Amino acid sequence: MIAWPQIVRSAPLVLLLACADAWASGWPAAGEVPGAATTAAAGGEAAAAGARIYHDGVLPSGAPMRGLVQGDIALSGQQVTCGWCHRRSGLGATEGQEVVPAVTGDILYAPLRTPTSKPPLAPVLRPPYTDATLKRAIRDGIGADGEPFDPLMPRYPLDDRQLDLLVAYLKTLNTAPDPGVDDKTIHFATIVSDGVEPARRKAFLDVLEAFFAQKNVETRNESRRAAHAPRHKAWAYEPYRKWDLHVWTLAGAPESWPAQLAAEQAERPVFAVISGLVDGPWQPVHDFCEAQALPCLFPSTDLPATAAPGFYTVYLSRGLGLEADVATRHLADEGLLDGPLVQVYRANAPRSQAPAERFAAQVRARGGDVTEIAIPAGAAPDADRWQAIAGQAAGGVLVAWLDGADLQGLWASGAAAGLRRLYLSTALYGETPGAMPAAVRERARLVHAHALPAERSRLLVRSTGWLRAKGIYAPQALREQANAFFALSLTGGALRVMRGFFVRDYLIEKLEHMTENATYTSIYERTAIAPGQRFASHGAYITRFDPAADDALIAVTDWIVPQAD
Amino acid sequence: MLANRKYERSEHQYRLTDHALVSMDGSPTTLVEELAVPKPVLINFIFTTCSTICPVMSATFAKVQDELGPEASEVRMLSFSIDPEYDTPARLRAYAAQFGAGDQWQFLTGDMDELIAVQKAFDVYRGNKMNHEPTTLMRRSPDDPWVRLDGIASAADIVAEYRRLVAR
Repeated sequence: MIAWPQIVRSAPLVLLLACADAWASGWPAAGEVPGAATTAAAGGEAAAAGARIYHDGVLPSGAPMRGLVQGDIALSGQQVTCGWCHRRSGLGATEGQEVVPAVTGDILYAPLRTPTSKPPLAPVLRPPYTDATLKRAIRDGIGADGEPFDPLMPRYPLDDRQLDLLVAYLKTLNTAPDPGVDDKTIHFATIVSDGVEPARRKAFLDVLEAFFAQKNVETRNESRRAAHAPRHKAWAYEPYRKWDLHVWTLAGAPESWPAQLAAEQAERPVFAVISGLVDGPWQPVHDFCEAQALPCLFPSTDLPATAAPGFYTVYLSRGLGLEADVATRHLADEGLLDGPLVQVYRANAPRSQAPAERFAAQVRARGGDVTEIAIPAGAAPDADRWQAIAGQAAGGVLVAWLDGADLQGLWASGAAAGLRRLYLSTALYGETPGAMPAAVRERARLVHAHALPAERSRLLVRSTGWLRAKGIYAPQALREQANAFFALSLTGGALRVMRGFFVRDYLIEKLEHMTENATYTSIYERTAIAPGQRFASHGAYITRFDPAADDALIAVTDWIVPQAD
Repeated sequence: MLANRKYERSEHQYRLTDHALVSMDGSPTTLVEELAVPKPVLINFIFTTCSTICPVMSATFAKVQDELGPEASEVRMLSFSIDPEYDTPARLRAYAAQFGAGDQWQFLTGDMDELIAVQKAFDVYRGNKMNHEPTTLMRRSPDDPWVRLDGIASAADIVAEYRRLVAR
């Protein structure tokens, strides 16, 4: 770590200094880093071995790397890998008043100084590293200027060969822009599929188009100023780019989406994907984004890929899978897992089948059992069929991952009267009782993974006003519009603090850092991620319709965060 | 320069109200229950996905535990999660194991609002876990004031402050 002057402790300067290592002007391009060319030619293997040290803390022998913290506490594992603090991009991070500087080769091997657009150059804050001083820094904690590092930086007892590998990898890290950005424009995509109802799709795309248009109007003069920036302001003006929106429309079955996405990205690479709205699971898009190292930010989906979290895809919530977990947890809390317990879902309808599968697995993991009834594609079950289904749950619990149309027969049959509880999801059923008979409303419980309706106008005041002013407010697509506005505002905020470092990994890292600060949380109670966390909202309410308040949806529990997250 | 920086020490009487918490074994507990021990208490605030200061703060607590040796059993060490919706008891147990936490060192989670209230009671809430600052608190007994160390205090610093605390 650079031995910064004491001013680093002064709060207003911290943010500035966080990027300071990354602003150093006049650093060489990646190819000019001493030794970089040889690294590229012969040292690919060395850099790969160095990457394992940097990211995984694994030495070439397979042994874990140890770091000495606070003098002599030897730690190994994720928490003392280089990348845990300096991050995947190598561009560093801040926490509170603590600054972790950038360690990309282009920055380390150049003198650190405030960038200026015209001579004279600003004073040197840190001389350039050489291979020898960089190795000394990692092993002994002495900076390029000969000063000892901050105690936050561990010392790494690595041998010369191991240090060479790590240094070879650091030289490959650089701040060159990723695809999707040129001198004037930054390209973004959003993804929609042709199965999304046209009115919803329009309401969603309206938000993106209006946001892009306004952003470009507001910053067009800053882009012009960059050409004539005062000598000390080049870094402030030069990062402005025109935002260009590409709508990637997917057609056909989800299995065919990756090929369509690959064709779009090949034709016009984008820097990141902002939001998205598809009819079906997000998994194919998720897989594409992870394979392409393409940030995929806050899609509006109930069906995120949850099996293995990626790096590049950031979700608002675990969606219907989370709802299944919360339903299980509530049934357990209420002592209702002992049965009878029946769940009904639509076979081959992902938004019904996915939570049903998750629910059954969760119930069984808790030692309970559930009778599963799949409704085949086609007409909704009639009253007789519902009579038979509800009969199996008589005196117990019926969980229905269904919409109002499929439940008409249940209401008509009167069989719900024999249930102790009926569990529904507001994501599928909606937030109003509809045709649900008054007697059933007493025993119906709805999982609701958003803020309560009574809270919503307060939460959405920022977007609603903006959408109305733009003439695109569509209350029937409230959720999609709110989510799109959230994704856009956060991406804009992250781009602003990234300055000119158009590195995709850095975009994700900035979002990890700032999502919790968002003043706008869409329809969610709270939104926050962190390094390695990829779901912003973690819980849900169990709600019911309150006959004393015009059947408004009210909470019967606190915000429940299931442990299975 | 920064290598030589010191922590700041101050003394406080915090007005603590009770808050529901969840211990790392998953059982319910409360702030008052956790603090109502006739022993010195050491406290810090961490989250398991924190990439900057928490690994060092937790390593520091681990070293304090080592330096106290058998005396560690006479102390209660508490680490409160400031990211309780993500830091489930299972995650806290894994984190504790990584730092070799002994029985006297407990990690606590719970409802977000309760943990925010605890942070506010100790004046360490900064609105966003990413603005989290390194603070260590200690108290000799429930009747004594809290000693607060702001900044990256080393294990030696904390042990020295602890000795001062119990000697008086």
